[in-house]
Amino acid sequence: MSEENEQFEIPDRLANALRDAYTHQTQIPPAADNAVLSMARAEFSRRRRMRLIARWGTGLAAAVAAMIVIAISLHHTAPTKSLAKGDVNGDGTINIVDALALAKHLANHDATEKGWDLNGDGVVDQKDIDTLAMNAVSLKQPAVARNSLPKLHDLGIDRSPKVGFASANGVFNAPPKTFAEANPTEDAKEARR
Amino acid sequence: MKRLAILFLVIIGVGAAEPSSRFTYVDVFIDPKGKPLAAWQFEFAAEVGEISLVGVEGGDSPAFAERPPYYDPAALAGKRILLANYSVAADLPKAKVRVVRLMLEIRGDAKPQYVTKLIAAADGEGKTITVDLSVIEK
Repeated sequence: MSEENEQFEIPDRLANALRDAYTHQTQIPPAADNAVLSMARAEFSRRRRMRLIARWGTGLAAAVAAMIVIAISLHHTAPTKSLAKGDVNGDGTINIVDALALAKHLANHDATEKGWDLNGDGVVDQKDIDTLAMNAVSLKQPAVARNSLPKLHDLGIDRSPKVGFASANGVFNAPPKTFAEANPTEDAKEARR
Repeated sequence: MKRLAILFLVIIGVGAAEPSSRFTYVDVFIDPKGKPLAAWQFEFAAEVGEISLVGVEGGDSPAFAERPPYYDPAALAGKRILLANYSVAADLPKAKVRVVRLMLEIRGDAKPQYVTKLIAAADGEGKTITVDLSVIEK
């Protein structure tokens, strides 16, 4: 205040002259005063609402975006997390080892998953193990339907009159051999020919 | 006498027209080579000649005696079958064991040949083990 007084200090004489010259006295009606006040309040209230809307809107938009991202990520990870029905051990194939895994889960009273209810009766029990095992040996499986077994010709066995009993390795009257020998690779077949 | 001769010829003719048929079986063995065998699955096919699968029996191991092997009933009367079984028993076989006996009907004189393919073999923990699969005919 003192700085202002120092800055705008005018001579006393001039001040008195100015004070004497200013004789105009205006009376502002209270209604106008209130109107201006209410307009000002309304304006400030509007601005406050706008700020709140902007703040909440930003938060809401962020939440929606986050939900979309989560939904998309869950949707994409679903195929890797939810394994093929019956693939209990998660190795990507369904065979008797899955039945074994499920049987062990049940024998140990471990927690079971909803996806293991293969017969859809609402309970994971021995019936589901049987269903799983029967699915594993079904001849209707695409892989089985493609005739996955090697042909005798592929094993290097012709159909000469001399042929008789062949063991798993396909050799006439030879003692049983290993599975690898019974199912030779392409190189092994070439070498045999 | 003439009638008797005709009857004899008819009997011979009928006998010659019918193809011979016999029943036999093959035993399938798995040797887990010292590892406990808790689950196995393989495919079997009989080739050459007119052969039909007519029955499936379980193997020798008490561990697998609880239930017969799993197979698709549609495989019977065919030449090809998928077989499997598992056991959660404590005493699992660790040496060569007969896991299944397959009954076959063979029509005609052709000598059958058998092809097998191991699909899975696992120990008690469900881990894959290396086994030998062999087939022996009766």
